[in-house]
Amino acid sequence: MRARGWPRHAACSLIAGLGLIAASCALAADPIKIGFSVSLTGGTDDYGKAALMGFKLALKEYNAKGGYKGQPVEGVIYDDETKPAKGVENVTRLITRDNVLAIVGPVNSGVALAIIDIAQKQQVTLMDPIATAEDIIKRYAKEPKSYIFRVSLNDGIQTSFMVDYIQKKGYKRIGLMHDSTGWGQSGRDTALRLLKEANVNIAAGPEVFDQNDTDMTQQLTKMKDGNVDFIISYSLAPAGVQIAKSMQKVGVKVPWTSTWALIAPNFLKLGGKDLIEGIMTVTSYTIDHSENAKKFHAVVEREYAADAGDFHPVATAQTYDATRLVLRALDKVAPDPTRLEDRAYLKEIRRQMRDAVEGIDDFTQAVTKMKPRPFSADNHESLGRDSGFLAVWHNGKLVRAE
Amino acid sequence: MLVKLWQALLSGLSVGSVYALIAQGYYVTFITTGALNFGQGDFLMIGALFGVTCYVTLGLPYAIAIVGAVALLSVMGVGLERVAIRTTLRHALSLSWVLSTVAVSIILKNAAVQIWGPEQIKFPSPFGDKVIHIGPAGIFPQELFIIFGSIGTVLLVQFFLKRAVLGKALTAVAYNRKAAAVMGINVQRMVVLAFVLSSALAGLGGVLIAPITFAWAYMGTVPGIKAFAAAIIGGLENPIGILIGGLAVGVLEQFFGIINSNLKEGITFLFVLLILAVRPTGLMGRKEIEKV
Amino acid sequence: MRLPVFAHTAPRDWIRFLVAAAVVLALPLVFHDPFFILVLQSLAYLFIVALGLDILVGWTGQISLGHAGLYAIGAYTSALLATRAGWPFWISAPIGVVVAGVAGALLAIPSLRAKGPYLAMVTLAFGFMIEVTSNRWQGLTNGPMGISAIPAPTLPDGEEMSPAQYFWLIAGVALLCQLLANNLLGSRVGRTLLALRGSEIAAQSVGVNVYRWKVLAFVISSVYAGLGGVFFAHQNGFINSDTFVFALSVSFLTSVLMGGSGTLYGPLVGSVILNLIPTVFARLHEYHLYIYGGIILVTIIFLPDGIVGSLLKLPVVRRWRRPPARIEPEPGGLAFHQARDDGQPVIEASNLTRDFGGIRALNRVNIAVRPRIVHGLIGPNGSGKSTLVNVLTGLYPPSSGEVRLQGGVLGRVRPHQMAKLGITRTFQSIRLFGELSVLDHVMVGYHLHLRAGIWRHLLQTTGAVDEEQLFRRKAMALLQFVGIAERAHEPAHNLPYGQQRLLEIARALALQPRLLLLDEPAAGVNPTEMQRLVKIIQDIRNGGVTQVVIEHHMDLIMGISDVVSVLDFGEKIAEGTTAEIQGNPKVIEAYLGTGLEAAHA
Repeated sequence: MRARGWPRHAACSLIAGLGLIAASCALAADPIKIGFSVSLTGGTDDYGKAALMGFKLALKEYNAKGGYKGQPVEGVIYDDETKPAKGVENVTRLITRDNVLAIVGPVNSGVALAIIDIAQKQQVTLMDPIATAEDIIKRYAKEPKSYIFRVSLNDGIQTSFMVDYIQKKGYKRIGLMHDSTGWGQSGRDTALRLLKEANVNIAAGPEVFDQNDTDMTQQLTKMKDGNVDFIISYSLAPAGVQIAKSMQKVGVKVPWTSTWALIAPNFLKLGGKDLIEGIMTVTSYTIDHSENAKKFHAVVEREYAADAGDFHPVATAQTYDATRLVLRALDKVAPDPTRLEDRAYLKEIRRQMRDAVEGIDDFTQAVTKMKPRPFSADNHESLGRDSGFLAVWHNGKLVRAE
Repeated sequence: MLVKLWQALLSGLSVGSVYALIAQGYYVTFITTGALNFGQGDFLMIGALFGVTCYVTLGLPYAIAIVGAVALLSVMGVGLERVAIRTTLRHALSLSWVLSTVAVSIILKNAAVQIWGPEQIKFPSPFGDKVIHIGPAGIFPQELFIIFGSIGTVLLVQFFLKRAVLGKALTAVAYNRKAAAVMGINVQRMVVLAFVLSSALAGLGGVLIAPITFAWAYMGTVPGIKAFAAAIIGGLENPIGILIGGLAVGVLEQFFGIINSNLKEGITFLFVLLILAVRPTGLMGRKEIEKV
Repeated sequence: MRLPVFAHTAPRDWIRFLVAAAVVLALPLVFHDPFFILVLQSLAYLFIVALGLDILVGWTGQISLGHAGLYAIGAYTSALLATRAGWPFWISAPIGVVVAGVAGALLAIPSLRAKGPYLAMVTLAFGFMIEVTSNRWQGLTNGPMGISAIPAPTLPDGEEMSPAQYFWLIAGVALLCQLLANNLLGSRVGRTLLALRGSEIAAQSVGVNVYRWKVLAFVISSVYAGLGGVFFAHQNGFINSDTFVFALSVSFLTSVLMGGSGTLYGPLVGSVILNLIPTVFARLHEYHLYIYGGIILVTIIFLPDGIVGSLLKLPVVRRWRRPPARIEPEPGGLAFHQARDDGQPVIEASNLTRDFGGIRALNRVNIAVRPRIVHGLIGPNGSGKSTLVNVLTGLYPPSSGEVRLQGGVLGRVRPHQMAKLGITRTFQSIRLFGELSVLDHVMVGYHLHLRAGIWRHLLQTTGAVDEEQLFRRKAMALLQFVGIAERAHEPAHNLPYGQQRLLEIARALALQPRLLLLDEPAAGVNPTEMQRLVKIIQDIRNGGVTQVVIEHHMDLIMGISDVVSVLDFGEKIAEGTTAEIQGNPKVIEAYLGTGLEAAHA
């Protein structure tokens, strides 16, 4: 029986198998893709790696819950090497080759200014999770439909906390320092503008330093000569520590602040809690400011314990929320994955994604301080003045500055 | 104003003495092979990070960390010579060694990021953090250690090259390879020694400055280039010129920072252009009289 | 049927070029994805930069670690003119290129006296200065915030170019650049650059103004770099100071060295591969820098001549290349300059002194060389013979005293200027031009006689080509004269030692000197070669050229000299006919010490 009947059996199995394959081919399509382009190497790579963690976590959770219509969503990840030209190349590639529905990134303000033009022109949503230069959103803010969104406290808002504090405490002679990067220079411009508006006098500076400088004694001597009573400095964590050390050398003892750069855990590690005692910084998020935040932080610690990582909780959290907003929009728009090869359809979906992101009004599980309705037609900054405050390092912990 | 100058001098000497140290590494390999390690700064970086591992992670004494870094870098120097130099120097007119040392530096940076991460790491100074006040200016104990340590090492290396038998053999190869070979000196081994010495100096430099600059994967590029500038300004074939050049570059940057902090970055390079336009072999370099 | 330009390009070469051009230009039609076109545009203009840099590094042997600065100057100039002044690309771009070239000249002129690592540092410093300036001088460049809204070039109908059209523009210009570079490098320009790379001193001795040629090569490479920068600026509409960093200069140099410096197509291969690696491996975002560094390292270790350089050295490739056509020597091509006999010495050293630090190499030496004779110069080692020749040919200035040429006092004259005055020499330790062929060595010797300049060779005019052919025939005649014509197309360093010496003489004779100084021409030659050498020297004298010969071989000197001068410890201790010298007790004492007789009487 077996020996004689097997050709027929084999044929049936084969046909059935082929049929299954054919059926699944008809159903299967390219997975839905979300693009991600940040600095994984180069100057701001620590923020980039922190952002990557947030991105991957958000996707992982989404896919664990079933993904999109049962299929996992794929994240397409590129490194822009902190180079604007590379950022442009990545974004072009994501849009035209990888057919992503939206892009999360970048980290570096210089790169951001190069790529927003492409995103806007190609009508693809760009969700900036970190880069803080004001112009990134401002450039297209007046457009009826801007494709650029941000989940981060921009420089203007951060500086306004500082100016509020200065006015509250009555400081009259401000010193201004900044690093030579795009972020530092744009920060300087922002500070000059806001201080002027508030009628506060700049007694010394703007003084510039290289972000990797190890000795700021000359700049601080000028602060001393100007008799400043408060210093605003746009410096990342390592430069912040060097400033504190140089202050000791020169004998400058005034309070000072930087932007959120100094909430990095690395600031504490590099400086030691005694050195950084009393230094102020802007923050929008502490790891325990809400239930959601606490839970999220626990997940991050578990997931990335091996990376010796607690790079930047804020960067990770912001990217996590930014990615989830995009995935939220995806669920709302509910495209048909099999039709995405049609470029006209893809274009239409991308447009709808933008509208969906702008219209989200029920995002209550944010781990950052954004509202359930983070954006609107004339506001693409999800974190505003009520999302942050000036904090001070006290005994190795951040507390609100009084 | 005098206070500013004095502070500038102190601050400048400490960073300048490290440039002198790194630059001596360039000197040693240049005189023996006409080549230099364009990744010298990244060798310094490995020394610093390995020093962190020894001193911070493993809790070993600072002296051991120094010895460890120097030892590791010496081994890397052997590797560098074998991999990047030996094969490329065969071709007389070739500049391939530039490329191969650059490639090594790229790989090293990446390896460092993989092993130690991309962020700055603290290297606590074994001499503490209390500022020492010399007159109205302040300096950290580590910086004083750097100044004396670097200058001392430079002098020690010079002594070695001029007095020790092995050192004299190396110097002989530098002057005239063929004659040295005929005298029974193993030229190949001397070349390796030159690279070992140069790499060891870089490693030492790393462990010295890490408490001031933090240790991190990208720390090496700028010191490597500034040290190169210092060597060129002083004259690549004059060891005293290199020492002075290193210190001068460090101090000059600080001085010009007084005038305008924007100038600090570019001033070294402006000086390079001006000096070399007038004296193409550096301020104290040997004027090339080629035997024709 | 010859074209007035590109006169030496065979139909077969044209076909190859057109096929390559067609393939390149068809690329956007095949890969019409905007991302691919973006990548293709970048490959094209980065190739242009590499091509120019190779002319400097590979052919002239000068290193530059600062070409990102020239690239930046081109980019910023065109971007600023286009955005601030509103000028169209077609005007702002050429201006950007010119400004980059001028910047290159301004950098090169004071800096090119520096060599090797010193030059590397100068260019590196320049690159950093540009980087820092573009970052800090925000009034001009807007620093890291950059210049945006840089327009793409517009077509005659007012529309902006599409990406594909922009690629065609860049690629078209790139193809033209390669074509012109091929012309240039295949002509006497390339040959001169290789010569000065091989030996600056020898090149100077036949009249090459080495310094000026180095500056020229630098300017050409600056123009190419500026061109690349201009195309870059208008590609994405945005440039900022974060782009023009040291690492970019390094990547330019890397692409040249990886492809194979000093080859015609090395820059193309190297730049395309190097710039494609990050794009190809972009998905491997954790490892792509390892891969990048690894590929560079592996290439350099296993292919130290670069990819194209190593390919060219493969035996199979060598066999495939067409052997050079046979060249007939020009009859009467052997022209000797007839020295004027007006009673004046051709050259005269008058109280000539030369010190090196504390050592007095020449001490008030007086020598007069009469025309059309062989003037021997002998003396023990270290007596100052070579130093005398070096001073007479302008290599060192005298510390005091004068040199008179045909009666007129010479001021400070450099070797290449001496060559112009008709004075040249051969060298004690042979100085050849690297890989150049035997024939090419003599062609370099004709440097001052070749009229066609860089522009004519750039376009490969019929005049330039004909001149080359004529002089090649003359060169063959010269090679025949010294007896090495059958090895005309071999690399000179393959010749045995004695024949290399003969080649040096042929090279010197190409100048048609009125005075030829031979520095130990018989050192290391075997007796047969010695005979030939004697005959050659006699023939040269009979041709009317004055010669000064330094030698230790007494047979040779005594056999050919009309007059002999003897130096010892930097002073002339005797002068006279060969007979007088051989019997002179001071001479014998100088060579052998007291109490012994000379071996030959």
